[in-house]
Amino acid sequence: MDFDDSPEEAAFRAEVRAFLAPHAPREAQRYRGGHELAALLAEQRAWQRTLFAAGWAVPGWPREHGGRGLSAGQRQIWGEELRRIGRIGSMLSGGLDMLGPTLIQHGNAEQQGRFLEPTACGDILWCQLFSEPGAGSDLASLATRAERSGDGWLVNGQKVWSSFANHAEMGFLLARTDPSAPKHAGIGFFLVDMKAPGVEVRPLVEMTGGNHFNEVFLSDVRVPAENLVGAPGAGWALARTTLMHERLSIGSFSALEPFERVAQQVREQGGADPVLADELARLYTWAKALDLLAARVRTRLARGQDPGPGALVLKNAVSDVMLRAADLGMRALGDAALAAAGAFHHDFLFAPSMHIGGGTEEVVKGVAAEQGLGLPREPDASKGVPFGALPRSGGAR
Amino acid sequence: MNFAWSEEQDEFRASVRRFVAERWPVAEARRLAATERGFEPAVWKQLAGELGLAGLVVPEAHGGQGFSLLELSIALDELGRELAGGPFFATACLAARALAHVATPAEQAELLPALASGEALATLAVADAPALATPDAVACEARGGRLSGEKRFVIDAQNASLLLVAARERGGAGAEGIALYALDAAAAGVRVEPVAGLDLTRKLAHVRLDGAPARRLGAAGSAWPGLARTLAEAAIGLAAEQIGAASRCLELSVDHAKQRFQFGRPIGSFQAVKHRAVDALTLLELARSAAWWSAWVAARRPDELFDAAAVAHATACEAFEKAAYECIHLHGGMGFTWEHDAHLYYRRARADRVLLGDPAAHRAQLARSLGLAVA
Repeated sequence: MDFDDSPEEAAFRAEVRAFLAPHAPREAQRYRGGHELAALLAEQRAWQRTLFAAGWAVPGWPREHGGRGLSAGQRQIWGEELRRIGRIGSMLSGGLDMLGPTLIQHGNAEQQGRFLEPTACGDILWCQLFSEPGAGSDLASLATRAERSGDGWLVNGQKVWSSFANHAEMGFLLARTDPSAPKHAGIGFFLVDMKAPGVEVRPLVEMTGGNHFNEVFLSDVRVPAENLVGAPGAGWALARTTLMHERLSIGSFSALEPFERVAQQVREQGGADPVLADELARLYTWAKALDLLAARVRTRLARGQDPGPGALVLKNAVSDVMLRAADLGMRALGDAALAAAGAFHHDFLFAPSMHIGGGTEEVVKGVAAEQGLGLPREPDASKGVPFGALPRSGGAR
Repeated sequence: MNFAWSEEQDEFRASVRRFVAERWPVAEARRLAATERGFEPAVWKQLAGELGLAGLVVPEAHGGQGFSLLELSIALDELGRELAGGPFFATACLAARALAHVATPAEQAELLPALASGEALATLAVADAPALATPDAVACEARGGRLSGEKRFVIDAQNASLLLVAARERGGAGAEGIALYALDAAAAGVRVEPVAGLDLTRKLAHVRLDGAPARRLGAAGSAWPGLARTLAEAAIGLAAEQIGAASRCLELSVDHAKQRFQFGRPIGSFQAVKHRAVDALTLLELARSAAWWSAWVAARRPDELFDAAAVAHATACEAFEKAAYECIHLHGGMGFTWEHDAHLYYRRARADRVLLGDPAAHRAQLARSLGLAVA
């Protein structure tokens, strides 16, 4: 057990710092919820091209696909150093952290050749087209159809909660290819041109007042055969790969960051009253523990071990820390919290989404109970039933 | 960064677990709760001698194993699972560390070997009553080599032949003027009164001193920094013990939820039951990470000891209390009986949050350290 960098890690960190030093932005480019997204994207694309030119665009990808094949520990250091210069989070993450790794694992050589490089250099912003109005926690019950048409596919349906779809060049889509198969078996994974005829994107305004998500309507959208990834009914396995990479991409998150922002506010005010000070210290203890648990999971992964039950509780723990930090930040503001905007208003309004997106709190707990504690599965009424025979919300089939 | 135990440490853990399962399982801890001493001398001898636990962190020069807080936390974790160990915590975690931090090399050479071999049992009382000790909490007086005062709820004092007691010497205020004294528990003027405690598996006693002859260890009036470090290390050790106990609570709960059928299903298949178990798992996995890290900090990063102790102690207390409560609840009516072990853990969890200071006190210290409190 050693929480210091090993000599190899220290050397890698020095290399990263040397590269990043001349590139530190003047101020942190932090995504603050939907305002001026186009300008933010332009700036992030320029940064991605800078990284690409220097060979640092996708350091986690394998070398043969333009990456650096970094280990889990090196990826962590890379993330920490990016955070140090205020470069965290990117609108391009859907391609860099999710679609790219999925194509590397499941795509064919032609697809890899066509998409990986433009994804890595930031020319393609990918949006995710998974969730539907009728398929949230039970994603596999999705109803968007992909039917064979000529030598390609004709797609019809509606998607929702698609991040940055209104800025995206391409989308990765789950659609039902076989309604007669049980729900997990008849799903395909498609790559869709967001400018194709029949694709309509309607931005959603979230409760923060910003626009992050979109509805996407697909009406007779033609998708060429070469844009199907894997077999027509193998999409569910690919989606699991994508979602696993989404979870890994939040690995460089530090739970102490939201704490530190509230702490900064409190210090500027000359300290907190004892009740708030106690709750802030309590937030610190759990946020510190959370960073440590994430580090423990990374060590297990780096050693080729099962990530362990701890990995399954990380998502909810992160959400809890964000909720608590937002709450304490608003409390620290005192009557300034009554104003329309302030230092913690966005966090406060954003926080309720944490336990909904990326697997609801309840779904995540169910998975942790079954996979982490070995508790028995709940009886599933849809198991083995053809998708077309399943009851759906509102009595619709 | 490497957040994994070494192979040797894993083997050590396995050997302690085997020993505890064979010689000191919770059923034995329950039987011993009704005895005066709370341990079986023959088993203690094996634990101290054959396993070498008593001198785990005592330097080899003084007859110990020379290991760090990392190994100590492994031992406490494994003992904690079965509420075992008796005088181990007081002797190995409190007294031996206090001597290491405060006593002169000559005094250590004289006193540590008997503790390291397990022949002598010892304990430490810093504050006059259990709390996150501050210098103001030491009122016990030292005058001309004699101590007068009272130390309440001293861990395993009824088993100790050597009592280490913090006392205030004349002329000093605050941290200045506090010294550590060694007393023979059998000396005149020393009265040790066993307490019937909430926690049935940890022995406590009040120690009343009335001009008891005592010998100062280390220099006059300068023991406080070493004692503060000793108590921070003890909080880290206690956190490890709590993690072991909380793990056992969760295992018992999950095993039961898999086997108990109602409405034609194992109760563990119901979401409401799963979510309770996962709430406990979440706190436990977080607190376990903090406990392991804090042991490393104690071994390698003395500057960060106090913050790390606060994080480990506060999270372990919350995690253990949650796991112990859920263990009762998920066992249903059976969990509420005297016969079931759940209440032994529940009692331990509550007592643990008092022994070395409430988590809120540790958080208050942390808030000051982080610059959050009003100056």
